[in-house]
Formats: sequence, structure tokens, C-alpha cells
Amino acid sequence: MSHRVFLGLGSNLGDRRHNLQEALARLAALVKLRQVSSVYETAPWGYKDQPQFLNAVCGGDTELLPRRLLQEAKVIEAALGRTSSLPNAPRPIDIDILLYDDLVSQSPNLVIPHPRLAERAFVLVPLAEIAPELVHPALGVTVSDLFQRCGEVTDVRLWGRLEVPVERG
Amino acid sequence: MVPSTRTVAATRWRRWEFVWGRKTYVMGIINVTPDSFSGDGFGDDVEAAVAQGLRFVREGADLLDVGGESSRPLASARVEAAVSGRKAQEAERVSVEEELRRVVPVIEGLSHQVEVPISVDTTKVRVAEAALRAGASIINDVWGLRRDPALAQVAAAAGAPLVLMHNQVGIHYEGDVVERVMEGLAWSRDLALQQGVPREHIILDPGFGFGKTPQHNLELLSRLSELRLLGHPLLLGASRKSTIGRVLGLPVEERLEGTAATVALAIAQGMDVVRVHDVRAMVRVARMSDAVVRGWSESQ
Repeated sequence: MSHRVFLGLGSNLGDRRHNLQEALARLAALVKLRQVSSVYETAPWGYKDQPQFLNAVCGGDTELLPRRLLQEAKVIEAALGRTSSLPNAPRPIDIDILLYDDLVSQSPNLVIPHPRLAERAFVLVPLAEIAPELVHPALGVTVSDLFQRCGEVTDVRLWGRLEVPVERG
Repeated sequence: MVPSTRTVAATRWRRWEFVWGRKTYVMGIINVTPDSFSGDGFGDDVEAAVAQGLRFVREGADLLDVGGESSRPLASARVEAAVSGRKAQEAERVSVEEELRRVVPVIEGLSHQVEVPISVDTTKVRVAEAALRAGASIINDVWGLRRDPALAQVAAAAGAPLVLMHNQVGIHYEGDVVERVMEGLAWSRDLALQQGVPREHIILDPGFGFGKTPQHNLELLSRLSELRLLGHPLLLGASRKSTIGRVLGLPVEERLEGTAATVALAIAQGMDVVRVHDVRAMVRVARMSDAVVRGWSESQ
């Protein structure tokens, strides 16, 4: 049975556009991609003295259960050279599971929906672009509503697009 | 856009309709085994077993589960047999004839006196067929078609809902236990679908206490909400199980409160059916949990 999943991608080390593109190409083997957002440039969180992030989100259908998908995403992160596990350190690519069907899971090793989803503009801006009507299963409000609540977005700006074949339907 | 989870909304069969999500359905366990782990087996006492079923219904049970084959893991049964000095064969799987002899009269007796549906807890086609003829209308397979896949054909032919439980030999899981259980359940489900059981008739049970360590069982209990991704009504049977005994350090006859905790947690995480020994107490736990989780009004 396939499950609808939304993933967040971020890169602030090396050839950032290439990293996003490569991660997406590899994710396409795990997730039948339906939608890919534009790329946005974002000021980093945590350690401020590091390059700006490029962020994008994608949505699609997968047969993989959440932890299996996360495990495979970690393989992609490692393959693209991520070495540090510090949450806010520079990294070639970071892949987060944002939403997985209407699952609400608070287990120690995987929290879904992603805890940053509801508050961080660098996730909400691209997600609102591709899925504004999507309902956050724990909060019961749409992505569009969450985006409105974010207030004025000053640190996230449109940067470009990725070239990825997206399957419609 | 809506999530892709396609959830079974209701199960309808014979004269019954269970609407999932509206309430928690309480399944009362009637053991007609001589060696039940929970110490409630009636063995050959048909009258006592029927009387218990009638009491369960008065106490609010929504369905009754009659089983004549102890589903206790064989290994532990053998150890206990050795410790207690009983012959090991005594604890081995009962023959089909013996299981039929125990189960059929109880189901017959109950089906004429109760309005609630009766399920038969068995892994054997002959027992399932006889039980359905005797008035049962649900098949509860603790091996999820791994012992006898043809049980699905029996269910399909009779239009009977089928409960498929996750079970395995041994306690090894590659990676995440909950996801392996879900994959196992999906495998069982697919096998049932292939044999013509309608999707709406398939109920899934993660098999708390079967092929799992206490840690596995606790992990499972803490992540039951993930099982909803399977899209089927879900049953949990944690009543009086040894994990509760291990956590509380209490024997089987003192696991009522521990069982109550599992029932409340199960309901909070979206379980649809709880399979229990202590019907009166667990109906109360379920009604109270339902009021919190599913809503409540003065008129109820």
C-alpha cells in the first residue's frame, strides 16, 4: 500500500544546487515524486556563521514505512557526504520526513509530523507552494494557515528551480 | 489533497454492523482449553463456558471469542510442563478432534442465546468450518494465515470477517520491530485479499505477546498509532499477558490494572477492538477512554 509523504531537503555546503538535485534523483527511487517545490534560500539556524541554506520540499507516494524511509534517507545523506550529526551544523544535504499520511507519532527516534514543520518558514514556504490545502494531522489546520501564522517572512527568498521529472496523477 | 490512507470505515456481515471509530468494541475471551495461560480455561465444562459468555454479554461485551487451542507459545508451555511435572505432550497442540469437541458445543450453546457475534480462535480449517456451522461468524487466526492460508477461503466463502494476527517463531527482528510487524500484517492481509476476503472484512492484530520480548511489546504498545497506516480496523489483545506481569512483578490473577492501562493506551492510539478476559472492568475502561478520545455527551 502506498503512503503519501512530504520530505524537506536542505543544503548549505558544497555545490548546494547539485546536492539538492542529486538527493532528489536518489529519493525518486524510494518515492514516486508528485510535486517538487521551488528552491528557496534561507539564513541558517543555530550557528549563524555558516553559508546560507538552499531548501526545497517534495511530495510523493511511497511503499516504505516511515523508519525504513528515514533509514534510506540517511543513506542518501551519507552518500552525499554528510559527516556531522550536529543538528544545525553545515551539511551537503539534510533530508527530513515532514508528513507521512495522517500519522502522528511521538516516538523517541522519529517524530512525525516534523516538529519544525509548524513554525519554520523555510519548510512552510516551499510546502505552502506545493500543498497549501494539506492538513497538519496533529494541529488540524492547513499548511496555508500555518504559513499565515508565520507572519512576515523576511529570511526566506525564492532562489530557483530544480530540474526533476515529476510523475503526475 | 488528502492523505493516501484508505481506511475501512465499517464492517458489515450477517446481521451485524461495526462502525469503526464510533466506539471501542470489547471482545470477551472464552477459553475452552485445559491449559490457558491466564488461568481461565474451562476445559470440557461447556455449561460453565456458555454461562461465562452470557455474563460477558450482560457486562457489555460486543463480541465473544471462543478458542479451544491454547495459543500460548509452545516453548513456554513445554518449560512449564517440565517444571510442573506434567507430560509435555499434554501441553502440545490439541488434535483437531479434541479442539472441535471443546469449541463446537460452546459456540452452539452461545449462538442461540446471544445477539452479539461470536468469533472462533483457531488456526485450523476444519475447526473454523465447524465453528461457522455452529453459529460463529468471525474467524480469529493467531498465525495470520502462516499456518493455514486456506482459512481465508473459509472466511471468504462464509462472508465472515477475518482477524489476522502477527506472530512468528522466535523473537528476532531485523531493524524496527513495529515496522516488521506492520509488514508481516500487510503480507497476511494481501494473502487474504488474494483469496477473496473483502478488504472490509479484514481486521488486523499486532500480536502483543507473540514472538516478542517485553521490550518489543512495550515498544509496540507505545507506537500503536502507526498501525493505523495499514488502513484496517485494529484489534489489541494484551489482557493479562506476561509483559504486564514482568513490569508489575505480579502473577496472572493480579494483572487487571495493568490490563486496564493497556486498554486505555490502545484506545488513545486508535485501536478499534480490545480482546479481554475481564469484561466488566474493561468495558468501563473502554467507555471512559472512549468518552475522552471519541467524545461524549450527557445523553450517552
